[in-house]
Amino acid sequence: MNNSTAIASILLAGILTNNMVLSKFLGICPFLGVSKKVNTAFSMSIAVTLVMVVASAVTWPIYHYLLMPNYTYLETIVFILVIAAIVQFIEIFLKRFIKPVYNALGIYLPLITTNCAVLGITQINTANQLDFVRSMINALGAGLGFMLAMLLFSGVRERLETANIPEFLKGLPITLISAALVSLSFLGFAGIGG
Amino acid sequence: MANKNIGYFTNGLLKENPVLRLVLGTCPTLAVTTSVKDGISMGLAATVVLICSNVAISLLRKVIPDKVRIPAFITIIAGFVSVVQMLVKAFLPSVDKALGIYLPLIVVNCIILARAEMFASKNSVLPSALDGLGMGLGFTATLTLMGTIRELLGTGMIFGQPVTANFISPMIIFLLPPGGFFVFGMLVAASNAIAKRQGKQPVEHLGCDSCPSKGICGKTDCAEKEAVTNE
Amino acid sequence: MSKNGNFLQKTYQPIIKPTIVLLVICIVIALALSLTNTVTAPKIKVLAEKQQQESMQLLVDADAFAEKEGKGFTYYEAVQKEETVGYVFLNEAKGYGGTVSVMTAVKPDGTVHAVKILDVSGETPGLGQNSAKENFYGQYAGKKGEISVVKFNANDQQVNAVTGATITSKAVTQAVNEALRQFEEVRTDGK
Repeated sequence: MNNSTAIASILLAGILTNNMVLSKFLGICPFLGVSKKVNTAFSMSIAVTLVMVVASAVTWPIYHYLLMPNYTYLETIVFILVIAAIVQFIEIFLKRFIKPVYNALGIYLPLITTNCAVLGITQINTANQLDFVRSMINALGAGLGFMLAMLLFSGVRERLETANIPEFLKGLPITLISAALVSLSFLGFAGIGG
Repeated sequence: MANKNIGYFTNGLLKENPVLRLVLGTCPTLAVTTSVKDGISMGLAATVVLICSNVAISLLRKVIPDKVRIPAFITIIAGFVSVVQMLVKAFLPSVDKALGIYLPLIVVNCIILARAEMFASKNSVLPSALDGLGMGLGFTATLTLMGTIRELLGTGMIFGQPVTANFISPMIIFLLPPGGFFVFGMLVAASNAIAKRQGKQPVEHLGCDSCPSKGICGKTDCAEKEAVTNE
Repeated sequence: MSKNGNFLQKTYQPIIKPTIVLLVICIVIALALSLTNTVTAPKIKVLAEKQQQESMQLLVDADAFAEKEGKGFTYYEAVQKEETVGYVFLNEAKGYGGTVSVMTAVKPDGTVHAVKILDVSGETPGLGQNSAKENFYGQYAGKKGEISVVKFNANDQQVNAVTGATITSKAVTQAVNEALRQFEEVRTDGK
C-alpha cells in the first residue's frame, strides 16, 4: 500500500484482505469482549470507526507538519496522547450536543483510548507514508472492516449460546475457536483489490 | 518478607498468568507468535517496559493526582515504549523488522496499563518491580509457548532449525491468523482445565477485570451494563 | 486580594496541581526521549546506509555506487574502475499482506543481473516469505523485457511462482519489471 494505490483498493483491503481484527490482530479485546450481542457489537464498531477516522484526520497534520522530519521519534507518545484527548472531546461533544448518540455510544468511548486498533491505524498510515486522503480512507476501511468482523462474529456467538459445546471448551476457548473459523473464511478474500 | 516478595514474582508467572488467566495482551499474543524468536523478542520488550513503568509509577504514586492518573500512566508508559523502540531500532534492527508496528503498540498492551492501575499505583517500589518482572516473564513464557507450537506445526522448524520438517509436511494454516486463534483457544482450554482441577474458576469470558480501561470506565460490569442500556 | 487567594485555593487541588504534575511528567519524558534519540539516531542512520550499501555490494561487484536521480525515482550507478557495470533500482509492489520491496541490479545491456528481496515481512511466513529464498529470486538473473509469472515450466520470459504464493511472486515480478522500465528510461535519457 502506498500513494499510488487506488482509493477503492485501500478501502477494500481494509474491509476484507487486511482486516484489522482477523488478519492484523488489532482490537482483539473489544472483538472478544463486546461481541456477545449483535446490537452492542454494532454500537462499539460505530464508535471505533468514528474515533479511527477523527484520530487519523488529527494525527496526519501533526505528524507531517510538526514531527517531520526531526521529531518522528515522538510519534508513539504524541499519537497516544492525542487519541486520548480526542476520545475525551468526542465524549464531551456528544454528551452536550447529540444526546441520543451519546446514550448509544457513550459507554464504549472510554474503552477506545487503549484500543490498539486506533493507535495501530494511525501508525500504519505513517509507516506507509500515506497522503491525507488515503490515510482517511484507510481509517474508514479499517473501521468498516472492524465492524464487519464484529457483526459476523457476534452473529456466530449468539448461535453459540444455545449450542452444545464440549465441557472443556466452554467459555473463552470456544469463542477463540469460532474466531479462528471466521478468520479462516476471510482468508478466501486474499488477492481481492490487489 | 522475602517470601512475600517471591510471591509477587511468581504470581504473574503462573497463578495469574497475564495472558492465560487474566486474558490481557491478546493482540500481540496472536500477532507476533508465528515464530519462537518473534514471541521471545516481543515478550522481553514488553517485560522491560513493564518493569520500568511499574517502578516509575510506584515511585510517583503519591505525587500523581487521582484525576489525571490515567493520562499520566499512559504518558509514562509511552515514554518507556519509545525509548525501547529507539534502542531496538539502533541495536537489534532484525527484531525491529520482525515486530513492525507491534513494537510501538506495546503502549496499548493492556497488561502494562492494567498492572500500573491495579498494582503499581498501590504498592511500593520493590513489589512493583517484582510484579512487573513476574508478569513480564509470564507473558514472555506464554508467547514463547505459542510461538513454539505455531512454528513447529506451521513450518516444522524451531528457531529456523528443521525438527519435523523432513518427515511431516508442515501445516501452514498454523502460521496464518486462524491458526493463531485456534492455538490460543486450545491453550486457554488447557489452562482452564488445570485451573478447574485446582478448584479455581475457569476463564469464561472477557470480563471487566481484564479490561485496562476499567479505571476510566467506572462501570462495575460493562457486559451487564451494556445489555441493560440496549434493551 | 482575599478573593484572589480564595480562587487560588479553590482551583489548586482540582485544576492547577494535576496540570502541573502532568506537565512536569511530559517535560521529563520528552527530555529523556530526545536524549535517547541523540544517542540512537546516528546509529540508526548509519545502519540503514550500511545495510543498503552491503546489499548492493552483494548484487553487483563494484567499487562504488553513485546515487542518481531519475524521473521521480532514485537509482544507483555501480562503478568499477571508472566503468559503469550496472544500475541498481529499488522498487515496491503490493503483495499479499503488505508491501514487498525489491532491489534489482540491471546490466548495461538491459538484462537483469541479480535481484534481492529486501522486505517481505508482510507476506505469509512459509509461503510468500519463501520468495526471499534464492531458488525463487535467482530465476530473474539473465532475463530481460517484460517478465511474467507462471505456476511451473517457465520459459525465458517467465519465472516459476513460489508454491502457494502467486500474489507475492507477481508483486516481486512487478517490481523487477518496473526496474527494467526505469532502466530503459535512464538509458534513453543518457543518449
